[in-house]
Amino acid sequence: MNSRHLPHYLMVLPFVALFAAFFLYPIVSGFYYSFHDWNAVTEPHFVGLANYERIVGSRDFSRAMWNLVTYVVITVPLGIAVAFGLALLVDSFSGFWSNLFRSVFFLPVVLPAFLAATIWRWMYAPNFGLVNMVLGWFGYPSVNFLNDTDTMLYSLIAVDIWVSAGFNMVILLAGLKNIPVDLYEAARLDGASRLQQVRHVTIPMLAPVLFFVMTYGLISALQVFDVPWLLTGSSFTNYGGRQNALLFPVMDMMGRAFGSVRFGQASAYGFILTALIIVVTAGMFGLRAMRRKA
Amino acid sequence: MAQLDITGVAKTFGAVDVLRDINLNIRSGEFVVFVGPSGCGKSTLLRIISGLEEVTAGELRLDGERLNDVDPARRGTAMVFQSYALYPHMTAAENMGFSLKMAGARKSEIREKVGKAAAILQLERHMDRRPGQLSGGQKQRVAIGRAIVREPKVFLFDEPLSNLDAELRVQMRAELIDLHRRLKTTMIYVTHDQVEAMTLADRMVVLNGGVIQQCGRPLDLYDDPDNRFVAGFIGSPKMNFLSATVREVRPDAIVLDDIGGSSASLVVPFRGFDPSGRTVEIGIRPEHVRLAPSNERLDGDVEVEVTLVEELGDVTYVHASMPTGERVIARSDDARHRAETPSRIRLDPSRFLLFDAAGRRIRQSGAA
Repeated sequence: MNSRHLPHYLMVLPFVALFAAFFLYPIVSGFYYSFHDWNAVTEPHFVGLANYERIVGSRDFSRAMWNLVTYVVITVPLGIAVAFGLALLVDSFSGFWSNLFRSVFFLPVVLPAFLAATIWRWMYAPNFGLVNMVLGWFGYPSVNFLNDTDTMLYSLIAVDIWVSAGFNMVILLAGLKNIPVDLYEAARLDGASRLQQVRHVTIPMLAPVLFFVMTYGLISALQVFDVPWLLTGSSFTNYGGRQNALLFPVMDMMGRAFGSVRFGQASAYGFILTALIIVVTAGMFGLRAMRRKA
Repeated sequence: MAQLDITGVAKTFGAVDVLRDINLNIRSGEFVVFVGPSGCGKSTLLRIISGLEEVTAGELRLDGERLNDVDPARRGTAMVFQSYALYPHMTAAENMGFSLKMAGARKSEIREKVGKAAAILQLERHMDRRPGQLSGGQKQRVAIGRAIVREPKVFLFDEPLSNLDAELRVQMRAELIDLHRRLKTTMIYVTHDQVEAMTLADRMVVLNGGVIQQCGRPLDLYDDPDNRFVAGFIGSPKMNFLSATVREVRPDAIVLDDIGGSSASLVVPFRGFDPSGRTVEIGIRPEHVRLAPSNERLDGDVEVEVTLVEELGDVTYVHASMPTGERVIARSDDARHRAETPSRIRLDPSRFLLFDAAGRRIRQSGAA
């Protein structure tokens, strides 16, 4: 090492030390424990791929993955559609109203998850909840949104879209503001209606932003944990709601770690999830590259 | 036929009057250029014609049909934007055919019309490229092609060459003149560049402060401006303006003193001068101001201090300072001069244009 560069290395040392301690070490040790049976008290016992096999073969994993796929397939496109609609709405206003709508729609993003979940547990409450009250006005019977296996997943999806729409809206709004007004004027002169302008100008021009929002939304959705955990009042020994209708992989992983005290299995679960996220994200980038070539 | 009549058009944005009482008749097949400084309202007037802006007052008629409430896409106009406004995700062909697609035209019809426009603009080899893969000139051609495909009655150009480099601008100017000759369609062109306006226009409309200052053929505006603004705006370098005092009024001439604060006295051919105007402003173009030979002195020569010499090769512009501090530019075709030297200029009184204190042209009696 050239002594001239010593101050440079010293300056990056604090970051490298913290990164190694809190990021690299957990990953490497987690990978090590994923091949061991370990309860954090006794010595780790090497079991090869047994942890991975046990997870993939378990009914809880199948249920969690099924819930996850259903959740992702609905939440990501629907969430982006809602956020896109809100962004178009806010963009059509200016000054005070634009700022007001933007703030109101962004509010759920800054709410702590427990508060958002508490609000929605109250909204979904069978007897006095706001949603059931409104349904009652139209003559519909009361629905047990968070305890009926037919409605639990959709109730969660509604809450998650409510929570995430504001964030996606702000990103999409920034993208909308970057589209030159000239293009809309040209489209107007070319005879495009407002809807055709959205279809032929807005959406193609927003494609890179939409890709980011979709990828980010997909990665977040694959790690869904806090809102369903709080909505179902889960604990480490009892989670996933009635008949595991709201059981998700991260929840299952946490249960195996802190409920069953099987840290080896939990580590293996983490790597399965990581592999899943990498494959899905790579797939997204691959699709985009193919579309660009076409 | 595409006669455009603009009657009493006004436009305000909040409390700001952008256009005031615009009256203009544009004849079929005419190439009209709106020219003026930034903020004069020329682009707003073009956008009003296109339908992108609504009028606050007044009326527009195209071939007798009232346009005010007609949708921009159905006005029979097509616009070429300063920024080109090409859809970046579409190929050149898709950009050019977009309006036809929106109108529900058949694919074969779109292909045929786009192909024709591409042939006119020599764009055939670039039709599969996206705007990002085209040069500035090619993008401009695609933007013009998009307008041609619509077969408009009136083409509207909003400073379409301002993003191009100087050489390409000259080339595109020639192409636009050629295009106008071939299509014989009414064209309205907005620019702040008076050279562009002079070279392209059948008729120029000079705007300032939202008001038409003068309208006419380019050389008429150059030789015979109605006011000081038009006189100063048209021509490069701009016209010289010098203060002077009317010492004597004769039946067919006036005698001017204190020209630019100098002791020179000149007899100016002028019929019917109103004796009440004692102070006037002279307007004279640089080509009518000459540097006096050092070995020759005439009565009307004015002592000046040369401040700057611009040698452009074929012509030299000598900037000088009058005794009052007023600036004057003289054109010299062959001489070489040095800055910061005293010199004498010779003004041609027969070329003087006179303006009153309000900047209005003082015309001879019997003159137009």
